[in-house]
Amino acid sequence: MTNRTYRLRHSAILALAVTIALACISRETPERIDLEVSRVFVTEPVTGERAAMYFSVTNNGDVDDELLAVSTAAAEVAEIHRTEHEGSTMKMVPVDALTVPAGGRVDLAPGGYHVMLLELTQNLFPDDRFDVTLRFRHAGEVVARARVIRYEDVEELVGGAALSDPHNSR
Amino acid sequence: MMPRPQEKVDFTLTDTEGEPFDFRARTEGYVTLVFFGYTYCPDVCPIHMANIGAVLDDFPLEVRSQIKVVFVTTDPERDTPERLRLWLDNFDTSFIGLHGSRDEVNEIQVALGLPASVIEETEGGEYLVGHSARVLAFTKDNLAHVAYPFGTRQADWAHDLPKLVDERWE
Repeated sequence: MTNRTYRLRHSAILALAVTIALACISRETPERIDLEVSRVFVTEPVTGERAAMYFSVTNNGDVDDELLAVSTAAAEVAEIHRTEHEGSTMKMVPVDALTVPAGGRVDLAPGGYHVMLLELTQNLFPDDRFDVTLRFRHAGEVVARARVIRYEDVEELVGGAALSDPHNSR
Repeated sequence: MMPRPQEKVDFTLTDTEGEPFDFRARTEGYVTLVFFGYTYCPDVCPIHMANIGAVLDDFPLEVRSQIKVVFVTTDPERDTPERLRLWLDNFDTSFIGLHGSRDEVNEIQVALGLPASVIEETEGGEYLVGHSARVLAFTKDNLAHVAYPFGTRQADWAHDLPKLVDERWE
C-alpha cells in the first residue's frame, strides 16, 4: 500500500464520518422507533379450520415501519391479506408487507386488511386468548394478546375503523 | 335504495337438505334477503350473516317469521350442502343455503344485476372467490328496492327490516 492510497482511503473514511455526524446533528433527536399494537382480535372460526385476525398498529416513532410477518402457536400459517374492492365486488389479495407511516396508524379491519390464520392448531372459542408475534422491519418482534370474538360483536369492536380505507392518519 | 327496483328472477337451486328450492315460489309473500358468498370468506360474508342473525333474534316471532334469508354459495366445489348448513347454523338455523353450479349461480347473479363471481387461483393451490358484497332485500311486491352494502350495521338492519316487513321502505 502506498502512502498516497492510504491517504485517499483515510480521507474517504473521514468524509463518511463527517457525513454521519452531520446527519445526526441535522435532527433534533435521533430516530425513535415506537410501535404500539392494540385491539387484537380474532373472529371465531365458524367452520373450524381458519380464522381472520385484526388489530391496530400505532406508529409513535419517527420512521415509517412495515409489518412483514405474523406468527402464532394457534396456527401453522398466517398471511397478511387485503380485501380489494372493485365496484361492489370484493376479493382477497395477499400482501408482502404493510406500511405503518411514522406518526400514523393502520387499522386492520373487516373489508380492509386482515391476517388470515390458516391450519389452526387448536379449537378457538369466543373469549379464548392467545399470543401473536408481529414482526416489523424496524421495531422487530412485538408480541400481543389476541382475543377470540363472535362475528356479531365485530362491528362494535371495530367502530368506525376501516370498512373502507384502512389508513387513518392522525 | 336502488336507482331502479330489481325484479326477482326465476331459478331453482338445491338447498342444504338436498331438495330443490324454487326461489320465486318459496319466497313469495316474504321479505327475502339474498346474498351470494362463500363459507371460506374471511369477513364480509360471515359478518353480514352474523349481523342479520343477531338482529332477527331480537325481533318478535311475528316479524321474524315474515323474513327469509337466502345464502347462495359462489364456491360450489368447497361449499358442500353439509358445510353450508354447518356454517349457516352458526348464525341462524333458519337461514336457507343454496347450492348450484358456478355457471348457474353466475347467471343468477347477473340476472339480479350483481357482478358474476370471480375465481382466482393462488400459489398454494388455494383459490379466492371475489363476489358482490351486497345483500339484496326483496319485499313482498317481489322487488328489491334496497341493496345493503358491506358495513351495514345491526342498528341499520334493526331499523329497516320491520319497515320492509310492513312495506314502509320509503
